[in-house]
Amino acid sequence: MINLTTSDNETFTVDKKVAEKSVLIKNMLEDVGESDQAIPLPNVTASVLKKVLEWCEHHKDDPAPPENEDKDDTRKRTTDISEWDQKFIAVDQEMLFEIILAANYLDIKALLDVGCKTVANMIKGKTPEEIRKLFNIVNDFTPEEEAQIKKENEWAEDR
Amino acid sequence: MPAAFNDLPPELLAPIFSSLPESSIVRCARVSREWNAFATPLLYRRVAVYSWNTNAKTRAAALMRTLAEKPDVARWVKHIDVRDFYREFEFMSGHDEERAELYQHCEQGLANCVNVESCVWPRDGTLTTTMIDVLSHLSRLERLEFNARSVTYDPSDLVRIRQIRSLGLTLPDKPAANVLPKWFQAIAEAGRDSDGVEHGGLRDLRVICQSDNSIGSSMLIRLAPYLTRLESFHLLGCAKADHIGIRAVLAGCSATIQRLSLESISLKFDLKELATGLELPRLTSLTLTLPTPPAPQQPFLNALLELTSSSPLAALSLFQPATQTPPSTSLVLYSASAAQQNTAPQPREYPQFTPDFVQRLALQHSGTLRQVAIARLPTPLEAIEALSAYFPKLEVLIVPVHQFDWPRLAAAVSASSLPFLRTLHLSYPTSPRIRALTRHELVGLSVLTEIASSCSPTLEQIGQFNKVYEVVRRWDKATDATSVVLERWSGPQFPDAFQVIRA
Repeated sequence: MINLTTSDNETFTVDKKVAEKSVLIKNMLEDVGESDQAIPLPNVTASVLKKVLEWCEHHKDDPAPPENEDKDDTRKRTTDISEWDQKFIAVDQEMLFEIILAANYLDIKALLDVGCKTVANMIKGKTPEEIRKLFNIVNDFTPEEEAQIKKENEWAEDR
Repeated sequence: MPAAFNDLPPELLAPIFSSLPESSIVRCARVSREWNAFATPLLYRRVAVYSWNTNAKTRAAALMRTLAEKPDVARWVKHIDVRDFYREFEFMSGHDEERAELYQHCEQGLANCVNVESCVWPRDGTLTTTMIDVLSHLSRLERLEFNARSVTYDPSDLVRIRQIRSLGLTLPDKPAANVLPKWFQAIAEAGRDSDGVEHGGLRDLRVICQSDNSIGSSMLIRLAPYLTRLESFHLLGCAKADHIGIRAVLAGCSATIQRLSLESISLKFDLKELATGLELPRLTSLTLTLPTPPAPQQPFLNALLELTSSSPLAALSLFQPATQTPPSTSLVLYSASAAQQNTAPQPREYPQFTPDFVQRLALQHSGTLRQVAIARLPTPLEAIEALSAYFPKLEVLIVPVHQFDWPRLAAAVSASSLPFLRTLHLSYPTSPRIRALTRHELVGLSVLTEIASSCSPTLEQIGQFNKVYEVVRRWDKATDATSVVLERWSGPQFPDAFQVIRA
């Protein structure tokens, strides 16, 4: 069993197999060897870690993802999220981004993937203005620049 | 402080965008400077204009203008695929300036794609000698597919494009065909390193001919010495290419050939003659047009099994020639090969894709076969059932349906029968009477959705006729139920089914 301590000082005791879904933790364990000392996770709060560990527990027996799957030609699909993961990730925006940040920090590729696809699904079909509104993004283009980009990319618009 | 989108590190935009369809990425590029920086490389990695796009020619011109004016954008391009363009003669007098600018954009635009690996430019009469020169200087270019009717360029210039490994020729004319031996030799010799070890030579050759016979067996025999590393060989409609020329090519590359496709070639083509004594130990994919009846089907199957006796066959596609329509149809299709035949229609034995055929196929290939495509060949439900019984690991199944017994079909392709199925495509006989029925009553979207629901969760696409849908399993939070929905196909490339079934 492995002990993990969150930024808000809560300690979680989990199966080594579950904790090692995180490449960060796996590497730490390999470097320092196993001990009773808790592994500090200063970038993750208890509420988020609880959620992340729930995912790790469910996926603990999944085969490791292929090393180099970033092939050009096989584009992933946003719709390709398993039913369990769809339910898992049906959370509010704040929690979604917390999970993505944690998955990125803990280096859990498959969970990061689920988070990214979920964000992609929120973007799909929206206009630039709707996207800015949804995520509170500032438009730092001048109207001329934005028109210029639209013209540059018009070959791909509204097929 | 609760997390917001702006807390995410910007580099996560790349994986977020990577699963989006192009139509969304193009909008993401206008959101902000940061989004633009991550969306642009993805949008330009694969640039394509298809002939079915609205205003395809204007689009193609706009694409080439951007590539010409923005070298920093053009350098992201790895694949360029322009299927439609203005032809030379479409410009009336008085538009010379416009025309000059357009071609300048094409030439500069291509030249700016310094990282391009694949170029597809099949539109007749749109390739210039300068563009050929530009292509010859793109050092990373591996794959070239172009229209080889040499009306707008001098074919002898082609010899300068030596870096490629994959070549597609559409409708080559005599002058272009005559250059091929010299060109292929140049390509084969281009890869020789200092130790004299050759790395050059085409790995992939595909030729599409229609009525002209510029590439037949005698040409193939001349080309064979330069094709000894071929991994993929595809002939479509080359009416003078028979077993003699094809055998010459295959004998030279029998150790490397992996994919072989012979569609609607010479009527004299004899599979038995090709197969005898030829072993293809790496062949994984085979596509064949069935011989025209009255050639009996049993020898065809025997020859097929002989040809693939040592091959780890994973994909098999069989076509009935378009001229060969089952008796149920009143449609008469014209094709070049029917004209050559020059015989009056007579009663024929109409072959079927039979359970017996499947069984014999299974004896040899049940361990490896993952993909089966049948087109225009009458296929009773029993044969589809036999396929799923003998090949439970099928991932792609493309079949004609001749009996409209949907529950039985659904059972044959269900999750328990074919647990790894990714693609299912159904076609129907071409009879206008049946078409009207299937369009309006029998196979509405609801039937297709039902079939998709009973299929394995691995199913990604399902289609019928000329339509392909993406299979989406959506969980609804309110009802806590998951339902299968068919959405418009948004993949970056042609769906599998269209690579198999051509009009």
